[in-house]
This record gives sequence, structure tokens and C-alpha cells, in this order.
Amino acid sequence: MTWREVVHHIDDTCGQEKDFILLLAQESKEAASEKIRAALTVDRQIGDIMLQGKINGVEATFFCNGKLILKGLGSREALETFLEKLFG
Amino acid sequence: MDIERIRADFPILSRSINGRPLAYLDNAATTQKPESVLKAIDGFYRTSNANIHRGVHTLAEEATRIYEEAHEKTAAFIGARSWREIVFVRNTTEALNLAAHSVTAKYLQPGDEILLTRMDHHSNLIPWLLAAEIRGVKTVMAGVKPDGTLDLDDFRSKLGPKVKVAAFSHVSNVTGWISPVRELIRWTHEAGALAVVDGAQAAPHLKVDVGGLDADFYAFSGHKMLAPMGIGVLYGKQEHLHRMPPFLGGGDMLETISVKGNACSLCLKELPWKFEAGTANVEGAVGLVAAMDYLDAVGWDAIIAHERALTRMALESLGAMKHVRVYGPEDPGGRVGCVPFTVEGFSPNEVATAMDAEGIAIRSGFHCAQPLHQSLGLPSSARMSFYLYNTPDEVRRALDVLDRLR
Repeated sequence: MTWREVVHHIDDTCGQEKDFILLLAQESKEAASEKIRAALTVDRQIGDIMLQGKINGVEATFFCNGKLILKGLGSREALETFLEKLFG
Repeated sequence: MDIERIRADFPILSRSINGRPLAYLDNAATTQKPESVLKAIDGFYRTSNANIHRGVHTLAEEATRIYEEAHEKTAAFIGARSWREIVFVRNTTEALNLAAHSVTAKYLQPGDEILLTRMDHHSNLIPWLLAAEIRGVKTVMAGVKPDGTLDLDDFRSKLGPKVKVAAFSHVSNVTGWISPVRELIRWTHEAGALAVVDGAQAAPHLKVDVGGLDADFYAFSGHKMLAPMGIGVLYGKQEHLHRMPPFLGGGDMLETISVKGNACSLCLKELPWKFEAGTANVEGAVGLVAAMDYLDAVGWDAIIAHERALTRMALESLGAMKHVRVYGPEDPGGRVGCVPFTVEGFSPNEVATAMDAEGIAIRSGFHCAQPLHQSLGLPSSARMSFYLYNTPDEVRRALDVLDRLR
């Protein structure tokens, strides 16, 4: 499993925060979700909607519908490095 | 207003998102389309599709008549004196680019000033900044008050003798604030300048009367008022449109082109065609007419009252949530159904994604209004925006998600 197979779409949002919003591919959603949950150090859980925390030191919020928001990565290159480390 | 009956006209509203019924609260970005609009577009392609103005065959004549009547209906819808004052474009952005390019080229000289506002959408800022740079014209910027509404005193103070154009919004796309547009236009005229109004967020929610307002130019989009994407309107007073050069050149905007050696002379078509180069978006015009008919049939008093009730409900509930901060005027009567907010401990993107997980569509970002967000000290915000088909239950669902985000 590589990150390119796992991530269906990446949205780099407007605003000065430049979050990345990742949508997981439907066919590998379960396996990818497991990896994310295993790597996520949870700081806060909001019901069944979202988990907030850190993955490898990066601020991350994982949603029940398979979306992952990553904050503070800064660039697409940093994002790809992060994803390679997480998913391969 | 029978909301359930209205909702039944919008097929998409019966969709589920993430296992929950769709609550579409992103109407300031674009609106959903009723059956009548979908059928009108479908019917055009099934029965009358042809290119306009370029054929003598029956279909071409039908398509031409349909397209020209759409100009007439649009003129009546916004209170223009003549259908020749209606230029169809792709959207508000294109309308304002046309105005900025052609007004600047015709009316402004180096040393003149264009007055803009920090409240405005990028669509009413960037075209003017670009045109000003090309023409060697200065831009000045009116500020906003702490609640994000236009600082009217600052606006008036900056309407100096060098200002030849003032460009401003009728309604803010972020706060939903309804500006005193009649006064802004009057002050602009008293200063000897032209008034260009961005009506993208006003035309869908208020009954607009460009003649009564005395706007020189007024721009809006079809897709924010139930019509398809790709059709927009620039209203302009004929006296200006006659004088202004076209923004786009090409087919269907020209009577003749005469070439003698290397010299070419052009004879442009009459209004509005000289501003409508290339193949027209006839299906868009057909959809726009159906959308305007739909809104008129529901009735503007009912639409305004309904949206105001939803806005009041949202503002009252959000005001009681200590972890939520709302921006814009407190009085729901002073704004259309558009509510920007931030939630402590969550980015606007997190808020919008949490809403999406519950089947609720809202928007996050700076909503193409970065100067306004900078004035408010915000990198971005979340925004709920309502329309005639939204229900109190949908607003309640959104409020319930926000209540859980603490």
C-alpha cells in the first residue's frame, strides 16, 4: 500500500493556515483508517465525529467519514514526505 | 411559505451525505436548482438548440428569440429601463472584470483614483487593481468597522475629487451585511464618480431595483439564485455602455470589419451585443429565466421573511455559545442569511469537515475576501448561508454539531 493508492484527493485549503484536507480512497479506507488511528496520539475526541491529536509530530484531525486534516506542514513536498512515512 | 413543497422542487435535497440527510447551508457559494430550471435547460436542448444570430433556419431563430427574451426578462427582474442594458457574462467576476477594464479604459486618466473597500470580494477588488495598474490609476481603500461592516465615514471621506469610480458590494459575501447601497451610490454621484455595485449576494436574497438605486453598473451571478453556473449579468446604464469599448472581441459582436492594406476598421454591433463576443450561453440564459420566474412565484416578501427567521435563530443560538464567535451585524434585519463564525479550539476547516461528517454543507476559508478577514484579525472563518429551501431543523442540526465542538 502506497500513499498514492490510499489518498483519493488532496485539497490544499485557502486561508493563511494552509491546512491539507485528505480524502481516503474508498477501496482502502478501512486499512488506511487503521494505520491513521494507530499512528495518532489522541489529544481530544469529539463524540464519533473526530479525533484530534498528532501523527509523527504533525497536528492531525481524523474524521469518521475518512477525511484527515493535517496542519502546519507548509508545503506539498512536506506533505508527501509525511504521507510516505505514514503509508509507504 | 410552504417549505416542504418548495423542497420537493429541488431533487438534490433528498440526497444523503455520510448516511445523514443533506443539509445544504452553503448557498452563498452556490445554490441548488429546482426542477423548473433543470427542465427548462433540458427542454431547450431537446427542442430549440442552435447557435444564435447566425442563421436563418427555424431553430436559430427560436434560439435567438429565447436568448433575446432572456435579456428582456432580466431587465424587468432588476428594474432596468431597457433590455439593452443587460449584458450576459459568465458570472459576477466576469461582469466586474468587464466593467473594470472598459470603464477604466474610457473614463480614467493617470492620476485619477478608484475607491474600493476592504469589505469586498476579490471579484470586486482584483479587476480594479489590475486595470488601475495598466492605466496608471491609483486605488484607495475604504476600511471596515470592528464588526466587518463598511466604515461609512471612511468611505465618504475618501470620495475625493480625484475619485472617478467607486466599486462596492450591495451585500457582503462574508457577513451578509446589507449595505446602505442607495446612499453609497448617491454619495458617489455627488462626488462626480461612477458607482459600480457587486450584487452577487444581493440579487438572490433581495428584490433589486437598479433603476431606483441609480447604479451605473450592477453585477450578479445566476448560480447563486437557482440558475445554472456559467451565466451572469452586468447591468449598465446605456449612456455608459455606448461609450465604453468592448472587453472581449470575436464573433457576434461586430457589424463589419473592413481591411484596407494593413489598416482595419471595425463597426461594432449595438448594445448589448458588442459586449457579448463568441457563442452565447443560451442554456444558461434559459435557466436564469426559469430561476427568476421561480423566485418571483414564491414571492420576495416570503423569501426575505423566511431567511431572516433562520438567521435570527442561528444568531440567537450562536450568541449563547461561549466557544463560538460570530462576525457581522447583530441585527438579523441588517443582513441576509449569511453567518460567519469561528469556534475556539477548531480551525474553520475542522468545523466544516465535522459538519460534512454529519451531512451538513458549510464553507470554510476566507471566502475570497482576504482583506476583510485581515481587518477582522482572522486567517479564515466558517460560514453558514441559508436560502429559501432551508429549514429550522437543518439550522438546528448545524447548531447541534457546534454545540458538540467544545
